[in-house]
Amino acid sequence: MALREPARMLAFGLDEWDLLLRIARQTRLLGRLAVIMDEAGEVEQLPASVQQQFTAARVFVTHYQRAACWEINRILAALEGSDVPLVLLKGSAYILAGLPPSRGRLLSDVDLLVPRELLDSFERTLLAHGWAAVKLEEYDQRYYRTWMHELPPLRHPQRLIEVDIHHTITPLTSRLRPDPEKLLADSVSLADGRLRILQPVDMVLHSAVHLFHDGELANSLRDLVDLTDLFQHFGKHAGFWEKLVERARSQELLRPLFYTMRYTNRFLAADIPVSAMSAAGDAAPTAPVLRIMDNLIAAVMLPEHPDFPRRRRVVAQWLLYVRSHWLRMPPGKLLLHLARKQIMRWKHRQATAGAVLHGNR
Amino acid sequence: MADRGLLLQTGPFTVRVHSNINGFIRLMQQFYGQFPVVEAPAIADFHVRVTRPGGIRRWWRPQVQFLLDGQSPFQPFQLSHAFPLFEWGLNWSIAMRAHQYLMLHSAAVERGGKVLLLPAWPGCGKSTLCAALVSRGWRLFSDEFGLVRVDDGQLVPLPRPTPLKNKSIDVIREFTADVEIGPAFHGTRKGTVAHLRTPDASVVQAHIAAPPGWLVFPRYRVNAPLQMKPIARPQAFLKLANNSFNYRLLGLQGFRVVTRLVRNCDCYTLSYSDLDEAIDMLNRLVDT
Amino acid sequence: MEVPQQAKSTTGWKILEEGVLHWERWGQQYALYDSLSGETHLLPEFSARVLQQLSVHPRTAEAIAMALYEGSDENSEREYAEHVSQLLVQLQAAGLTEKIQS
Repeated sequence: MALREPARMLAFGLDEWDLLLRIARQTRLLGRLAVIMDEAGEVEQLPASVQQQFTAARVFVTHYQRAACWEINRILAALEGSDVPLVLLKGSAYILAGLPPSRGRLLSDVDLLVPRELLDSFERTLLAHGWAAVKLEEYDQRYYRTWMHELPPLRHPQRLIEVDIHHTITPLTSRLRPDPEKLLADSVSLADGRLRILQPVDMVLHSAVHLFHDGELANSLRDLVDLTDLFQHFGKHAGFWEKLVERARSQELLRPLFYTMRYTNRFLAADIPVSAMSAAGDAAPTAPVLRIMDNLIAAVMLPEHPDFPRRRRVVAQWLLYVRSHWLRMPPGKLLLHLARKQIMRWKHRQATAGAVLHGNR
Repeated sequence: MADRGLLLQTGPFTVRVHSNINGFIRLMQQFYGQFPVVEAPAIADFHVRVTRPGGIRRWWRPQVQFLLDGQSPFQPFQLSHAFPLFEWGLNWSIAMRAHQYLMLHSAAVERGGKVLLLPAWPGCGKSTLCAALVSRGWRLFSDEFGLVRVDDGQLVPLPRPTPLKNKSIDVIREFTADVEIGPAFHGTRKGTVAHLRTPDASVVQAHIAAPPGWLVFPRYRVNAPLQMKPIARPQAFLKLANNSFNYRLLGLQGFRVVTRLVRNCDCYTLSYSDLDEAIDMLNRLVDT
Repeated sequence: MEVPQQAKSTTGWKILEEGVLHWERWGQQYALYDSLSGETHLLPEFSARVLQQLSVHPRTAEAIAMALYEGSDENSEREYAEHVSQLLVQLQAAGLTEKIQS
């Protein structure tokens, strides 16, 4: 795996680079690849075309990281004087805390965790300072508010970054019920005292839940890479693994943790300690289910050749999407939601077909 | 081309093109036949497919789609418009990805070792003006992109077929016999489009970069008297930054590169209605 | 020269961070790139001078006015300080300045 062994990449032929660059871009890992080669001190020896594509990727990464940091700066400015504890999640947390997953990372959203009782006033403050709700279909709006863990995303019209405000890390209707108050209580302050991040074990669990239950599993290789980074970074500290398993148990997140450990081990040689692996195994599903998951995850996580996507992948993706929503919604609502989505997609196709009929677009 | 595809070099970019549409393949040969062919194995900057989508549109009002790395960023065109779709698609792909350069939205032509930049505005007529200049001996860098190298500020050529729209096609046809105009495509989203074959000299010298010398903001107006006026550099700077594809993406580097470019150029606005007059004026500007 | 009294409300101002403002001069105008926000501004001389004063260290509008005002009339200087103050508020909206927390 190229990500693990930079030195081998020097021996790559042009055809291999040609393919690798395409796959890296598709899996949002091109920036990371550039950083890996930079850190290995090997960039100068690479073919000129590779260096150029890395340069372009670095430009993107720098720009979007700057945009995310500025967005947070503006949010803090808008909150001036109020006492809302602002917990950064995911990409923004990695970047502001200088954690390994931030290397070469592209991000387009800022995710924040806010206490539930402060959600409305927080949203109102941002709206008063110029942010506006991103236009979602009315149905999606209701879905987001009632069943999901986020308000509809906000965006300031002068900027491109979306701000997603969470009050818990899984949706309200999910069968899993981690306690957001514990997350906030145990959060860690950053150098800028107004900003906080989740404590290490919670950060890992949040990423695991996001990966295995959030439904957008296309190209999740990047998320698996993040988790491997976090395991390696935090795993060095004494007591981390025990605390991780215990926390997962108490927050009812042991199964997502089990999957995370299993697949980071399999695909990215994450070197999860055996004791942790077996403790998380308490939450393993039955053998038949596990077999299916193994196949599904392999079909979806591992990148396809850009020109020859396998049909199986599309089916696997759809199955995982359904599963994620099954975990979030009572079954009756799920069917309704999926039917609605299908109708909207069909209507969109009709509309665009109409546009084409009436002259070229 | 249906198998491994055609590997073509246009300026600094290697493009792999796959297609099984015969009409399109023929036009590619017509317009890119003189371009250098790249030997495999090679790293391509863009992997493009120009193909017919499946389903009902295979037979009823057949369409063609443009795919970059398997993704289609636009709606399909009617099948007979495969070539303009490819040209438009490749422009889009370059603008989306080539951030190792500062990319100005501008025509660029070279004479006497320096580049004249003609930034684009709606209705400015830059492509027509560019085509006319090229027919009078200027070297074509690009009708669409001012590709600026960030380390030394030089412009890099990206010679491609120049698209002309509607009346411009006739204007150029009347203006000069020295051009090869390809077939006209009617009913595209920009009206009727036809392409000029790239002059051989521009293709052959595509590896030769050049520093910028002049920045001229053109404006075509029917019956307008010819008028070229200097424009203040800070205004030129702002206009150019706003008119670039990726100024914001490049951050501080973009700021420095555009500043340096404007400092190194003589900057003007040019109002014109007559191509000959405009070219005369630009020739004099450059020759002094 | 009078030292401003404690009773007067004088807001302290600062730029957001050191080293983020990059300048290019074009005669009487100044182009400014702010690497925190990624924004580019074209500023007249007055605005540029005020910001450059602030870049040295945080200060009040009055202090900036004192440094820049070239006349000798006290009333005019106060008006000048008022202009500076208004400008600092505008620059705040552009993400270039912020008030110091007291």
